[in-house]
Amino acid sequence: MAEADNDDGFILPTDAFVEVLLRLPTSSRRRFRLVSKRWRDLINERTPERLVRTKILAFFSEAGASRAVVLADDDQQDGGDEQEWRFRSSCIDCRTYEYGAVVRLVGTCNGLLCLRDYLPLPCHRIGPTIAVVNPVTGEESAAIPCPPESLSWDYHGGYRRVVEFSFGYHPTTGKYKVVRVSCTSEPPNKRLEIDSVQVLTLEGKSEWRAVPVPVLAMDTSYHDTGGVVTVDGSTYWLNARADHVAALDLGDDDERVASFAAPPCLEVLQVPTCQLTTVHGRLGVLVTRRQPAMTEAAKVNVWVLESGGGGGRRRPPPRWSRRWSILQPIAAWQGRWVMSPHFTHGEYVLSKQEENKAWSARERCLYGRKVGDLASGSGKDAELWPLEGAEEIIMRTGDYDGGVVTFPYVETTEPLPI
Amino acid sequence: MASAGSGDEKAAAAAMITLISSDNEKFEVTEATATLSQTIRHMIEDGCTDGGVPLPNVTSKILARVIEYCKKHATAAAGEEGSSSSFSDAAFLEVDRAFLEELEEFDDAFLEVDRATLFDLILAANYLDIKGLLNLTCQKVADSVKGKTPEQIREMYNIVNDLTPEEEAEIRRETQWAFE
Repeated sequence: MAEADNDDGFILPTDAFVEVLLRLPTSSRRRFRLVSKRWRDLINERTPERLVRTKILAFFSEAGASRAVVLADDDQQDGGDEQEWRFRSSCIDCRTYEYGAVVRLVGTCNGLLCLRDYLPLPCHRIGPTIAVVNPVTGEESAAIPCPPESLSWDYHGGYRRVVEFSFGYHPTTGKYKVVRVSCTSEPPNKRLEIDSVQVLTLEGKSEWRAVPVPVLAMDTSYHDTGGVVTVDGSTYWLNARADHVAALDLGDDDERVASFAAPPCLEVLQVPTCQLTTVHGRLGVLVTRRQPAMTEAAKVNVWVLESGGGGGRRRPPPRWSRRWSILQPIAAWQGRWVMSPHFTHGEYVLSKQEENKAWSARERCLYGRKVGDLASGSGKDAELWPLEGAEEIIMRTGDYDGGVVTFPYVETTEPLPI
Repeated sequence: MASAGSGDEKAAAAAMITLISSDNEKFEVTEATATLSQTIRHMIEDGCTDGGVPLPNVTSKILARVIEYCKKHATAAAGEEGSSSSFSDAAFLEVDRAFLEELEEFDDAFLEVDRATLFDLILAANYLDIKGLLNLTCQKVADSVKGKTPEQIREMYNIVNDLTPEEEAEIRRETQWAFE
């Protein structure tokens, strides 16, 4: 430590240095662990950083007012109590089940929640909007309009449109961005083609900016079930054949879509059902295959991007490893399904089960199954873990078929970027 | 407390403290001003301030600034004590507010210094244990770096990145709060 003192221009004794670190916003402090060993060690050892633990946030989309539930963590000392917040749609007229106005969670970063107020087309008063909130401090940003989604009108007239959002924080630039990927297919059973990728940087004057998708260099199709996931400052999605991952580096000011090879799991015969997710801070791909021997279950292989890939230029080639396999039922409406995008939590994998209880009432259960140390064991093809036998973490009944998603959450006093 | 002399002299000596900078410059300050520093307060309590307090870690340039801060804030502290007995008095509250605003303006102007001076002030505030000054100066540094990237901070302060690529990758993963 004495050597670092002599070398660098940040000449402060440890105590005074810690005083400065303690006065930084949580996200800055976390980012500055990348400055040098001294910064990393002091932030890890001398600030509340080490006490901050990630919890599971389960988001239940419900007509008009969705719920975010942060689960108490029994495995942690001082795991705290369960917390719940409700987020209402801004259009009072559309809050009923018939109109289907619903608040969805785009993502979480540093304790901030990015919410999308999805208003159906009959509501012309307010279009769909994005907002950022910190439920701990109660701060909420102004609503930012999203680009219009007019084509969804034509679902029955020969178009199908899929619009996905993702919320990301770039670990070195410290910028918060929202990515919107919009795709259409014509006719509806054909593959989805991306018509626009737009990025919203949350700062001062926030405006949606179109990102050029190189038409010749890569496939501009979109994989139906893959979703859009942001990990480590890059946003990812799969092409229709699921043999390439598209990546957008959020650290660049003029973002560009790059692409790299997906996990080597593709056989030519059949495109598998894939879902992007996060596995202990890395990009993961859940590849579902029907087992010929098992009529009830499908095998889900969990692939993890060990290194390389990512957005931006001059990235090393991707190195994928298959971590584990899990069994899940074939049909989504029966039995347990793996969660996304927060799929692993400590020694647990998360799964869900949804069931219709009465007209328009739907019961959604979240389960955790302890499977041991998941962070290590890289490259090993682990045993099969059925999702059955997991313990119930939380159950909620709501009247909108909006499902439940899980995200990692930390309680911070992080200020809003806008 | 073993000093000889009349009662008057003793009172005068107790009221004024001499601070001696590293370059041997002497500063006479009142005890109220000096005791904003916990370090000096303890020295006074231990009776070891006779003949002046040598501060070998603080230059005269920085000490002058520190004293300027302490004088202003000692007055503020005295003001607070004075008004505490009549807190319900609207006129007093009005005076207090005006004074607090003035103090804020003073602090803002006080911080208009170059980076080296700011760091020296932190060192002095830390060594002399002056809570208000430490808070003020540390917050200023924190505010000046909080929006920066790690690379920009290394450039600003000439810091060598001694993290291995593996360590960096590990930190980046943890930065997403994706760990349990």
